[in-house]
Amino acid sequence: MTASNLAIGSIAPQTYQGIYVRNNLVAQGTVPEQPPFNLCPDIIHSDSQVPANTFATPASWQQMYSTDPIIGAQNFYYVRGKNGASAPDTGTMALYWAPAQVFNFPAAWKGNALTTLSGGESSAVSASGGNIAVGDEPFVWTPASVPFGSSYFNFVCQSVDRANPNPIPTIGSWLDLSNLLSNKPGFGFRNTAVVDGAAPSWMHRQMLSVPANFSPAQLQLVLSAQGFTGTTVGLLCDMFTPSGQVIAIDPVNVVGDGIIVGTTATMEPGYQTSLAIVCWNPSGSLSPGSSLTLSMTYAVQTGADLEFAMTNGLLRYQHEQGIGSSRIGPTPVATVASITFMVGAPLQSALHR
Amino acid sequence: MLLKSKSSHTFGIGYDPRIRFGSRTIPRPKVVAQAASTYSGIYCRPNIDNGGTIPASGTLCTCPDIWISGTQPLANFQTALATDSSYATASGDGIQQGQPNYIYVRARNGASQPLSTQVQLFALPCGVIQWPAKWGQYSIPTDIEYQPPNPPVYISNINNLAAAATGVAQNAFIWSDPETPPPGSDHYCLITWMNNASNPFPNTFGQLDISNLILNDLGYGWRNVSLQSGSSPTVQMVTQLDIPVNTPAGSRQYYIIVIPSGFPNGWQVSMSCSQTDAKGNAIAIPQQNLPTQQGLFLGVYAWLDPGFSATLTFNLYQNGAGPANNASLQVQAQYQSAPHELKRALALGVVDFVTSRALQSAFRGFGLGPTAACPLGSDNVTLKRP
Repeated sequence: MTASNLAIGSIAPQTYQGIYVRNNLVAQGTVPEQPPFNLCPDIIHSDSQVPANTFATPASWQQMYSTDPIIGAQNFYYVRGKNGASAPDTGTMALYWAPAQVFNFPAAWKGNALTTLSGGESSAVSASGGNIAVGDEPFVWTPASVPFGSSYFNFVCQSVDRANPNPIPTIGSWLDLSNLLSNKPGFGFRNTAVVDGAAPSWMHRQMLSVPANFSPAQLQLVLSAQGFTGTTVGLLCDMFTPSGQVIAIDPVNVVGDGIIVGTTATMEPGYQTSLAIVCWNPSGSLSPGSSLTLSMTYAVQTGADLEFAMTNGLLRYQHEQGIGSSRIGPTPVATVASITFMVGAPLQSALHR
Repeated sequence: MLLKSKSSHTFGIGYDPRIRFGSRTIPRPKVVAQAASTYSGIYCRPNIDNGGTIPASGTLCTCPDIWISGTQPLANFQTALATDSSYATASGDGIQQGQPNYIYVRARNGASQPLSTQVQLFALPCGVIQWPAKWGQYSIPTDIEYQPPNPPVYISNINNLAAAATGVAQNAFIWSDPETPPPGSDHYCLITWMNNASNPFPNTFGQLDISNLILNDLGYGWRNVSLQSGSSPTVQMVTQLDIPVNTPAGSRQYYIIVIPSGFPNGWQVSMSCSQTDAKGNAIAIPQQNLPTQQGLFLGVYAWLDPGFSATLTFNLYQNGAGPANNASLQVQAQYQSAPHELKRALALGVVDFVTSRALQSAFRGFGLGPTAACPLGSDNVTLKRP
């Protein structure tokens, strides 16, 4: 026996040992997390103050609430997480906002921390092992307007405890961004907007900004939907890329659930634009809970990128049938962005709306 | 490469159907040499002092050409056992109860021209040795691939052995789970048979006949063995690990991982392979506790050349509580794609990212480099509660 050939490993995801925040309702605090990475159900909006423990029940834990604020009014935001360790844990949670963004680069949100009702920069949390922790006081916010180039807001929750300081990371590459989304359960991201299923059309805007120090990279843009059959959707950036390219997906009829259409686009350093997603809904009868999602993935090449992505569990295969005009085999990709538009309830909108 | 289950068929000492009625239908061996001469065929020695002379003298049941390697295979056995220095030695005679034991057979050509022969090996309870009609029930299989429900392959070969040369049967024989001898016997006798046209199956009916056979027909070898007590496995799983000979060499690096599910504390596992890898390392897991946490696995890596074919034996030992119903042990073979294959592997979508990450993490520090593992096959055993 050559004992040195033997190793013990795990093919199961590792459970986060601390108070984690989810990126979707299915998440269970394990890393690497699985997409979508933009549906944090642990950031909760209310238009009035409510008891924090309202959100600590198992039933509430299975709910995702709206995050859209009421412009010009005081809005209350609650945050929560779950202790993935077996021992009791205490910590704090911070909440950040940003004008709607395609990419969750910290530069867009780290300067926009909300304050709590008492003026603090974070809300205290504590929970015994395996239990839900809700911030002891809400964050309050009175937005005057939605900044130009965006039509809604994003939110980021940051959970800090003794074992997990979770500093806001420096993002130097697309894979760094993917790693933040996939492997940092101390952060929860919310990139959603609620849309009116009865509206004959709607458009939402979000900023798309590429850091100036990034290398050009080709990303895959994929529109997918559930319950949007019969609508027409399209995508358009309102600025040419630095090299004069147009990023767009021409209007396409939605004939079923799943991937609708996709394209590839080169993200050039320093590119800034507002990306509009438009939906024409002539029947005006989209069911609550239907959703339209734009995902962006980074096609990972061989070499150091692949090693990093493989080591950090960022990769999945994207089968490209339906993207463009040809059928292309699987491509290893890392998710770098997702934004979702959800029709009305059962998002349970806000508690009091 | 493939993992092919052998567990659906009894893999241990078994019935070689070719010789079921041997002693009744096959004539006596013909005499191939006169007294005090050299055996003029491919022969095994009854003891270390014999040089192929018949009638043999001395002890008849210490054949040094039945080489008991123990519970680990011998690297490069075909060359290692054919050297003059090896030929002058004998292995130990210990057979480990409950473990796969690897046994090799060598022989020398006493003729003046090249010869070939098939080689068989029997593990006979001593009370059976004088009844060749029963030998077929105690055939020891080789590690040659076979397709259940067909029986295991009991025959190996020595091909085109030059005059006066020493050769070794091409395959290991695996006595996979030796148990205490049945009533009426107090030990086992290993008998090897050079199965060729000049040496038909024997027709003997008593101690004197078998003695006469060994004295005058060195186409048979006889070795008594001692059974070293051990714990027999609760469950044994046998699977074949094959890499087709026409497989591009690639990285030559493979992982074998064992994923248990539903076993409580106290269960143990061991793994043994009938061949060493291309670097002469054993492919093995020493007996140790099965991980009980969901998702944990035990893994080994090996360097394997095209044409590699070997039998993997997994022993499971219960020590305490029984397994959950449908508890299972899954065995996976994973190929580490070579750098020049990586682009195609990714384009084909065959790189298993989850397992690659797990293997990379588990084998960090082994100097293996980045892992891009591609699944090649799996086998499993599922335990049902009575």
